[in-house]
Amino acid sequence: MKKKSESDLGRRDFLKTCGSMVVGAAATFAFPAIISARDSKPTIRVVGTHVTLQEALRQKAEKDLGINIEFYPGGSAEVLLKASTDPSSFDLYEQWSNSMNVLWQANAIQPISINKLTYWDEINGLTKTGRISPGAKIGLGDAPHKLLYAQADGSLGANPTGEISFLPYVHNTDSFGYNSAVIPKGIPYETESWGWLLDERYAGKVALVNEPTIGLFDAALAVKARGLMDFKDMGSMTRSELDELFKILVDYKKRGHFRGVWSSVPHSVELMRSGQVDIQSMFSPGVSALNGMGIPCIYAAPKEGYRAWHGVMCLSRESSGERQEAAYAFMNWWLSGWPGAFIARQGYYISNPERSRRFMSASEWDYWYDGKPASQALRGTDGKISVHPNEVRTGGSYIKRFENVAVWNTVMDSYEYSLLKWNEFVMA
Amino acid sequence: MFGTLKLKQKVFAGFLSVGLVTTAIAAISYVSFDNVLKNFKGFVEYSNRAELNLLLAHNVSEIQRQALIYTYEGHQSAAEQVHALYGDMKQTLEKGESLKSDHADLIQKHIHSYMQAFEQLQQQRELQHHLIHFDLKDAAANAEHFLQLHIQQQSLHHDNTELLMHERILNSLLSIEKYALRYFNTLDPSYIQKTKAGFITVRKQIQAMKTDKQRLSAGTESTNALKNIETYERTFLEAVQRTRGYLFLVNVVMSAEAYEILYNARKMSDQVTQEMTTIEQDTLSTLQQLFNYIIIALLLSLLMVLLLSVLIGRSLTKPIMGLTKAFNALSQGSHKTEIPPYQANDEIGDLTRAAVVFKEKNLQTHTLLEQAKALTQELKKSQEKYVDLYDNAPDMYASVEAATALVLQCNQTVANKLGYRKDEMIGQPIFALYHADCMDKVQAAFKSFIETGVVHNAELQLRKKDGSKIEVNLNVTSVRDENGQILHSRSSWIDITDRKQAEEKVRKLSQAVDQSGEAVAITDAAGCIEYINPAFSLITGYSEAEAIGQNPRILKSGNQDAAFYEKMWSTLRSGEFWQSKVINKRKNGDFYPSMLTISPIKNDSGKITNYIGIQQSLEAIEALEAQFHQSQKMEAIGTLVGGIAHDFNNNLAGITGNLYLAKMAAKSLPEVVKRLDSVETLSFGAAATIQQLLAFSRKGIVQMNPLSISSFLKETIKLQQVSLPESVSLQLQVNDTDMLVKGDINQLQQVLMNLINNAFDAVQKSENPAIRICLDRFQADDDFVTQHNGYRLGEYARISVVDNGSGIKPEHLNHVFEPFFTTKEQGKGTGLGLAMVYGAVKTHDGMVDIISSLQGTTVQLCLPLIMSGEAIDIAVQEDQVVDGDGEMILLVDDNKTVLKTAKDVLEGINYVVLTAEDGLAAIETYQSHINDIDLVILDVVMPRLGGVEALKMIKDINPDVKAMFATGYDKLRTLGVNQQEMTEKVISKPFAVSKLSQLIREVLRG
Repeated sequence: MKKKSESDLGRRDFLKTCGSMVVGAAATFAFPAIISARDSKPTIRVVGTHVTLQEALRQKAEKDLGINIEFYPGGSAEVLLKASTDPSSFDLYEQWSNSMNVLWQANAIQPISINKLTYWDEINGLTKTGRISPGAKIGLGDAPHKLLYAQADGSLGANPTGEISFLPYVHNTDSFGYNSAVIPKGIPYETESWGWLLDERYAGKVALVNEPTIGLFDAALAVKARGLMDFKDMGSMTRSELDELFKILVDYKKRGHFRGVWSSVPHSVELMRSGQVDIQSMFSPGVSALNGMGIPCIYAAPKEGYRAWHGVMCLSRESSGERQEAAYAFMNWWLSGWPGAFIARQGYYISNPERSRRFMSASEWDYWYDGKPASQALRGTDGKISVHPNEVRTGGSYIKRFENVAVWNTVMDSYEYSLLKWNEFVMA
Repeated sequence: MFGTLKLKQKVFAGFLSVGLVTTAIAAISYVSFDNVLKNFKGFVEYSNRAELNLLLAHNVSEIQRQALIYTYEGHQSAAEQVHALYGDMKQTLEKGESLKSDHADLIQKHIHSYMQAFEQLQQQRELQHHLIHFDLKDAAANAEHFLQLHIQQQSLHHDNTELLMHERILNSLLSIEKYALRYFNTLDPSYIQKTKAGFITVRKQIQAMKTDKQRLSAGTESTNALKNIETYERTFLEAVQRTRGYLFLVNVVMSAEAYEILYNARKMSDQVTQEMTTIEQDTLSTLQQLFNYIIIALLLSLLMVLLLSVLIGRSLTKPIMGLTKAFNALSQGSHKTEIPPYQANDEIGDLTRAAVVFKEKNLQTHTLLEQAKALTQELKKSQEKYVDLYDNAPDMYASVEAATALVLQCNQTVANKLGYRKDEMIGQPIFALYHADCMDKVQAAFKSFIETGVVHNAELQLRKKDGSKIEVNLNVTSVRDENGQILHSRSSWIDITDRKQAEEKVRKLSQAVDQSGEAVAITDAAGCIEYINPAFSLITGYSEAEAIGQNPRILKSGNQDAAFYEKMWSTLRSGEFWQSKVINKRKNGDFYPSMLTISPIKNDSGKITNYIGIQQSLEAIEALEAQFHQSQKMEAIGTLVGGIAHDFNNNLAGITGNLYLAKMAAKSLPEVVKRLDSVETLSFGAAATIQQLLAFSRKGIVQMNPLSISSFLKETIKLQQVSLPESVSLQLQVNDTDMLVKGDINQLQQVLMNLINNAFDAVQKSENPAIRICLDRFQADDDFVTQHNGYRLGEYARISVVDNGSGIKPEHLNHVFEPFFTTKEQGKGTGLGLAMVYGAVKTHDGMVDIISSLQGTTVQLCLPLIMSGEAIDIAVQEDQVVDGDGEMILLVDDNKTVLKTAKDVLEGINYVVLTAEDGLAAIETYQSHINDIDLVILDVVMPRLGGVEALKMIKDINPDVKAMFATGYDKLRTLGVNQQEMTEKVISKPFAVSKLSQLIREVLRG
């Protein structure tokens, strides 16, 4: 069955734009354009990616809140550098939890007071405790709850306090995709495995995402699944573990196992469409695009678990007064239901789903959250039919997915070293 | 071709051929070498590309290496090297531009992206460098300088504690600087944490100093110190982010771009290698092919030399030998011998041509002989063909000598047609061949021929040998001598028998239409009347002159609606015939019903050219239908009457029998007898009514006998005369006394009585009441029969009963023959009189007509005459009982009452009576008293065995048995009994004892 999920390529464009990010940051620190600006009302500036900085959301929020909102969308690395080096340029920052350490370390953001969050109590355990359900395993790496609470010593930790570093909201899971016209279709959670990425039968037809904080974990999960090595803590690899991992990867690479790395979602689509690749790290928009072209690409549900990511909304260190109040209002608006329903139709999850449920039809809830067959055709946020009757979302329900998180996207302590090793791998 | 050349030319031709082969070899070699050269150039070009690809791959590796050196070591020379290598790579790609491919385009794109990323890296790297080497140092220096200043101030105050704290802060600052630099040197993130921890420590230390105002000179200064530290920390963190940024660029972005360049370069190399392999194989193939060609050409050349040698040698010896042989044959007159085809312009050629001339002469001689033979043969065939054509021509031909009129010659056709052999015909006089019917025309034609020499289209009849004739069309031309005298004729006859027959057929058809009783009209396709037959005029009233050119709608009566005619035209246009009953209008405006049939007439191509409409007037048919319905009604009544008559008459027979016995017993009581007479009269009246009904329905018992109708009339009138008052004149007028009819006297008497009674009733109010009865002979011819339904051709005795009464009203005329129809007052008439007349006359195969007016009524009866027969005695018997002589009678009847009564009656008139209740019992009784029984009286219809069958079986016992039948009504016909087989007398029940006694005596007398 065709997988229908995230249709927005924005979040995934960061790799392509990360180069230009550096230029922009170094040269002027200014953003290319202001999407909207009005004078009479409080105005907040939001920096982030295209995943959440969508015009429909902005307009709706402006209408609901009576404030002016300016969106500054950009690539992930670009906005991270911007935020971490110039807190005065924004009020709110929307990105991934793996950027939290950098931002917090750079003193670019200020703690958010839980008291001011209207729907805090509705936020589920995934963000607060790392578990979506009592029996769920906590993924390795920077699980969001480890970065959530602002500790007294200025660090971030899982110990609940009255302040948090980010507002939990959008999140999802990723895995690898494979062309079922070439590779026999596997059984989700049973036979589908990260180890397939290193299967000799697919030699020369394998690619990884060109991002060490992501692709590194895909490779590590694959190596571990094949039994080639193990990690003390995959979410925090040591230099020696990195050395061993990359030794294996470089060996595979030199034997021609990898076609290479891809640097953007369109690039990943082209690799599989042209037949250069049969299996690779993938983001769900790429899977959707391939299926739309008639390539039977399956987004796997690996038995070892997913690589997950969590969106964060952070308050600038420089935001205060009226703008700070408006920023809080915007944060509360995000969890008020309608935005959660809106992004659910793009395949993303919100941290307080039940509040969004009332803004979704039963059929939508069944498909997007419960992993049940769609009882009728469902429309996406663009108004087009995105889900056909009887389609089932691969990976199952929201709970099922987040019960199977192997690792969270993480910027490890060995980040700089991993970059060096990544270069070796890519150039091998 | 080769043989036609001179010897010298042959030798030159040989050399020329070898030369051409050699030239061809040279040309093929040139082309092949040219291809090899091109392949070689291509190979070199691809080699260059391969070299460029290698160079490109080397440069990519080198550029990334230099970029990494620059990134990690910061050597500007490495950055310059990157730019130089970029320039080289661009130049390399430009060199290979002639060999465009998708991979080259991708390489160009990736090189461009790579350099963009590198330029950004350079900016980041320089920014980071500046942050570390200037901003960070400045920040550190500022912080230290501020503290150093305070330390100097504090040292003046000799405040050792504060100095110590300042020293600690300075140490912390040194640690920060140390860890920060270590991070940038080692890129170990743990130093970031340590650096940050250092900043926290410093802040705390400054904060601690700030709380003791005495130690720190002023709050503003500590605030400044903290700001310096914050600037210091922010600078450090920014430097860290910049470092990570460019590290990401070089290790992730640029390395991926570099790899894509290498990947595409490798793909291009693979392509080049493949192309070079192809060129290599192509070159080898070309060379191999060239070698093969040269070998083949050399072999070919060698073969040609050998062939030429043989050809030249043979071109000399072979023609001479051939020519010698040919001349030998030619000298012997042969014209078929092969002349060697040696056409060269040399001596042998001359000899060859001489031989050819020799052969031609021989051939000419032969040809002349053959032509003579062929002409002879052709002439023979032509004669045969002529004879064949003449003999088998479709028309008949003959030549006749003018002087003698004898047949000189004739073709087989005429002989066949007339049934002669040819030799029989030749020599015969021509006149003998014509039929006597047309001899006048023949003489005239012959005379014309003698005078003019020709005869044109004379239609005559030839006589066949068997005497029958053939219709012919004669044309004659003449053959004259030089003086113009006619020598003989050439006669041709065309058999026009078929044509004549066809004409006759057309004539008959035309007459059939003309004489048809149905109106026929033919219109053109537009509906304009072109023809009508006389019946059309008769039925419609339109003459031919009035109808021709008109549209048939002149007959439209308005009784049919538009849809009716639309359907009619729709049917006709589809080529189908159409038929329907219509009400049309005559010229005089009267409507008439007819069955109209219209059929389209099509030409050979199927196009409708005409319509033919046939109208059959339905007036007569409708009248017949009415008559038919009337007959059916009559039949139904008859069936009803027949059904009840049997039982009714049996009952009456019982009643009348008993009445007779009662009267005998009551002779002494006149009043009783009188009343019994009344009852008897009423009983016989009832029986008469039944008889009337039976007669009407033709179910009654009839005994047809020849009788003289005039005698019958006279006798009957005599009886009637007495019953009429004197005031009424009854006259009989007999115009023919010699007429016999076959009839039942009783019925005919009743008929006449009924008619006279009706006439009497009709003249009651007349001033001079008169009834006249006329008898005459009437001849029913064709016209009469056609116009009067029911009549047959032949002679009739016509009895007319004429009265001068008030006549019958026209509206009653159609009903007067219906049973129970009466115009008389209640109690005076039964309404059965004329009905009985009608049925009785029909029984006699006759007809009855009524003509009525205010002046009176005439009823005409027509009875068919018979040509022979002996008329029976018409004398009317007296109403007297005749007693028996004690004879024994076997009385058979299934009705016990009838049986008992009849037994008593018969015994009362002196008979001995045995009884039986059915046929089987009768046979038994008869067998038992065969010698005693004198007469058997049988009922007809009985259970078990009927009277007819029983009598048959009794006759088997005694063929001379005397018997008679007594029956309630004549069911014999309905029972299928053939009355012709029955000779026995029949008396119908109820019977008067007098009649019965008289009939018994008659039978017993034999």
